[in-house]
Amino acid sequence: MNGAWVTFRKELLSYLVSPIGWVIAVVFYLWRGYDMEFLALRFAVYRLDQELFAPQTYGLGSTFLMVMLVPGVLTMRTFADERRTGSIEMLMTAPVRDGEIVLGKWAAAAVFYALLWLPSVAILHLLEYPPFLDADLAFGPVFAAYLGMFLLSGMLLAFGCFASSLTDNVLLAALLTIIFCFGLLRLPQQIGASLGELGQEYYVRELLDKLDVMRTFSEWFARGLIDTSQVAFYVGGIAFFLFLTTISLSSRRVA
Amino acid sequence: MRARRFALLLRLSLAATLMLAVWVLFVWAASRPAWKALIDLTPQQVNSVDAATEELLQELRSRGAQVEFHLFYPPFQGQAADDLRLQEFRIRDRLRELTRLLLVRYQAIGGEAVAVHAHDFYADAPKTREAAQRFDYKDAESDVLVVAVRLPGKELRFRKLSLPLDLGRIERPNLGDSPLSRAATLPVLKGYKGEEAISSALKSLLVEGIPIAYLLRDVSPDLRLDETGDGYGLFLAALGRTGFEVRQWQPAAQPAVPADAALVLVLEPRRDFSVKVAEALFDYVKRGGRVFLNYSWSALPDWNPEGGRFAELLGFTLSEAPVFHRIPDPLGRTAGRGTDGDPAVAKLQLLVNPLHPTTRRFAQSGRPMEVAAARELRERAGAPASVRREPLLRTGDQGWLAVLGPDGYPSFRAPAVGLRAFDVGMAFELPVAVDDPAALSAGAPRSGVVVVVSGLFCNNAGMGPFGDVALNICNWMAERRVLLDLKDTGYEAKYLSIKPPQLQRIGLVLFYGVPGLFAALGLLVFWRRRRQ
Repeated sequence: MNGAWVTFRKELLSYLVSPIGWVIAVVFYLWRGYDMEFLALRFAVYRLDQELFAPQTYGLGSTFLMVMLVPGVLTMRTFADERRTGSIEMLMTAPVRDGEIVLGKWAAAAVFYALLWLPSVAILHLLEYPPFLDADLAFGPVFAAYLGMFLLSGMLLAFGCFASSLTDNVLLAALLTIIFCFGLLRLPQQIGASLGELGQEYYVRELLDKLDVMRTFSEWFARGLIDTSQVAFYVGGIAFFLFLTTISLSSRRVA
Repeated sequence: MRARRFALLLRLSLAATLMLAVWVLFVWAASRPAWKALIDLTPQQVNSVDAATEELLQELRSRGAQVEFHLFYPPFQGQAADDLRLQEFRIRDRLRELTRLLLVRYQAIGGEAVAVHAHDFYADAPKTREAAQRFDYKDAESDVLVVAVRLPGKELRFRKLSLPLDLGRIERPNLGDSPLSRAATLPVLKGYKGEEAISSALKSLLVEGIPIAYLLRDVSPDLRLDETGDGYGLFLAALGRTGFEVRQWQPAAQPAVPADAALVLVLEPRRDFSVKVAEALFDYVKRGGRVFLNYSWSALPDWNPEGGRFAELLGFTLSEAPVFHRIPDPLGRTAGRGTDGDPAVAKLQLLVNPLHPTTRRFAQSGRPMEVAAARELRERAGAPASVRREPLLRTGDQGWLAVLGPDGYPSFRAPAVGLRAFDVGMAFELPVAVDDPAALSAGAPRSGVVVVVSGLFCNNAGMGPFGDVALNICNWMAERRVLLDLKDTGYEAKYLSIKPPQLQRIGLVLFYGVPGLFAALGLLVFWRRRRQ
């Protein structure tokens, strides 16, 4: 596991000093600031239930940006760039197992992604004070939302690592991940609609519900409810894509 | 080289397929209703359902029942022309959302036994029309949830619930009260009682047969059954919705209480029962029958019966004068004695028996129970020992029996001495002597029950706040304890009020402050990196 730890530290540092991370942070919080100001205006005009404020911040366009676009951008370089620059050879010959490399790179991306989200909790806490909203925004659902966001992004980042391991073109890797994210957004509903009565079968419905990640996120995690079967789905998804990445990497080594 | 690539691709595909199978298996196992758990982190536990609901859904699943929820949400017609209409749209929208989310929980707990069908009026019009015909849904009913249950080998039974009337608790201020403020006249969604309504409907659908409540009107000449003013239309409609069939009992045509009576209702009697009727009623109670008697005080002197022969047989009597109570003084200016001299002394805030099944839930909810026009219920001297009496409702200890003036109207002034607590609600239970043990095991009632409540609380005006007490009494008496003890929902709307300066500050911090901080930090990192 030492190899994974070394890889994790190196990758996390590279994220922290790379311009892309900071650009994402500035764009995300600029958009989120606009979104939240608009949301507050909506609450002011319509006098909505204050318990809805925190959950609704997770249904904003900026959340959509973070979920759909950022995993692809963050992970596009993980393996594709190593291959493009040739540094993959060094990595492959280092005394580190493939699984450890994959785990270290994924964990660094996941932690950086979590760090990107973290200030938004502080913002919500800040809004609770009298100069701003002067309301108790209920942090139980916020915790659940972060757990959900971490699990969902963990799965998408794992797919991003896999996509990056398939090609040496970083843009193609990013595009593959973004397409996958959009696929998750649209396909489950369309499949459900086309299945008709079969779509009402319990296990089919359960699977389609879980694949419909944004709906799952906004209706469960963002509302402070954790369903253990959804946690299992995401954990399984992370393991699945990390396994594929490892296999893909090993295959390259053999080739 | 090509063969090697193909072999690699095959290996990758095989591994991916196997791992995918493992993932699907893992999710399938975790999705099994018996193995999955829901953790609610909301402060009011709004996403949780009561243990009674969970048990009910698990029971339905184990019995192989099929539960269907059909949502009929017609599209909003036209645009909101004014604030009132806009607010109504908002309330409907919120109720729809709360119901949808609640049904997601039911579905998660009920697993394969529960299906939710949201009927789309535009996209799937033929199917919606078919469902509307099946469940007798009409457009005028607006937002409706149909709860349907099919037990194995049985017909599908269903009940319709209106979102604004049955599931929401909407406060509609009196439009005439606040002409100066338009905002104050808007209706507000104060709470949501979806779980209580849906689970009660589910439970009532499981009860075999329809209990019949017989209304005895002979002794209540001024009783109105419409849904306006001080009539009892809303109470009777609510009984219908909880699964009762309400019929009238005419003792002149049928001297004995009908054999299919689940209970007998007597609302605001203005004269005593005739001896014949009183004995028929008592005979019915002795055989395990149930009677709900709701007395009240009237300013007409001979309209305040004291119970007559029936009360004699049960061992109680009623005061002729109404019970008043000093108005509580929260500021403590009267050293805890409260104030009097105001007509509001006639409105009694009651202590509720926290142990009796009919009032337990109400007592736990902490809501104050209020009745008006109440009279004292007291034990009669020489009351039969075989009848068990249990107080249900009692006033505080600053009550008194009003002194009536020569015009028949009471004085609102409290006497200087003799203030005390008065019972205004009581339950009477008579054991039924059944010699045949087989009859007992077959579910025959083991006791006859009479609940006597004095004071107005389940007429149209009282049904909103205290209707659940009256319904609980009826359900309990009809041996339908399955409908009791559902918690009130934890959801209580708290509206956010934001003023323009607050909005301005939020905009400044979120739109300029936070992104600016990140930009500055990023520049700092680059500057340091360049210097290294």
